[in-house]
Amino acid sequence: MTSCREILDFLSAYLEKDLDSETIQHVDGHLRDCPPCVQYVESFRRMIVATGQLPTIETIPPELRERLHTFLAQRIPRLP
Amino acid sequence: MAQVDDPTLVERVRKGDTDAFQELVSRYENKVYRLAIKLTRNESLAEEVLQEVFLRVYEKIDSFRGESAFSSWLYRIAANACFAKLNLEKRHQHADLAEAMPQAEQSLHETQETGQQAPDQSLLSREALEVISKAIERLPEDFRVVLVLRDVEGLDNEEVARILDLSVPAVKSRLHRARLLLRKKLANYFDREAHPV
Repeated sequence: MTSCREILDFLSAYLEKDLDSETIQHVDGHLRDCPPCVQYVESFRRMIVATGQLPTIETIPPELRERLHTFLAQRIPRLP
Repeated sequence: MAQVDDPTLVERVRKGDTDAFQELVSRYENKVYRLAIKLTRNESLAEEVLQEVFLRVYEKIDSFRGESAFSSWLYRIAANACFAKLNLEKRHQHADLAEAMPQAEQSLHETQETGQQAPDQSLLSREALEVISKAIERLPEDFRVVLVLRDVEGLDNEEVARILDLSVPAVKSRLHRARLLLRKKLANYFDREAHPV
């Protein structure tokens, strides 16, 4: 019988469907009877999804881009 | 040059085409900066990395043999530049991998004891993203770099393995422990979302 701790071991692989079918069945079986694990798995999944959205809030500031261009232009001939 | 692929741009840069180089800079400056910020956790260092990386790309373009994607080569240069800035020897740096599991298990037990509910809304608000961003910055370096490359930048395991000179199983293992530790660091946020009053 799969324990809660074992669920933690398999979590990333389970969500990325990187487990053999027997192990998936064990995990699914545990989740059917363990609401806390279901909640944890769902929060873990949403955390991964949200992490993938970080690029939308972190882009290079315009002044930094300008300094980058100046830096490169001083060192690379004919840079536009 | 929006329709020109990276290999073509690289070839043009090799021949001295500075417009092509500028296009590569425009294409990847955000990604390099994001990685540098996440790894160095310092805007000044990240800016230095940004400048050094693209200067190195231009100077060493002939050493890029095209055996991997240009982006992989670029990320490797960027990661190495970050580690150099932080004075780390990434091959000999050992993350406390054992730390993540007990903490994650404790987090799960806390869920069981308090019956806390997972947030009803998905983590899409700017506030949520800021919270996650700050939590990632507090991860140990070995965990942070793998999580940033995989989950933030969206690279696959094989590419991350090439960039960091790790095996794919090592990438998977380190990523999972990074995620567990990140989830632990976000426990308060999940708890606040579940009980907003």
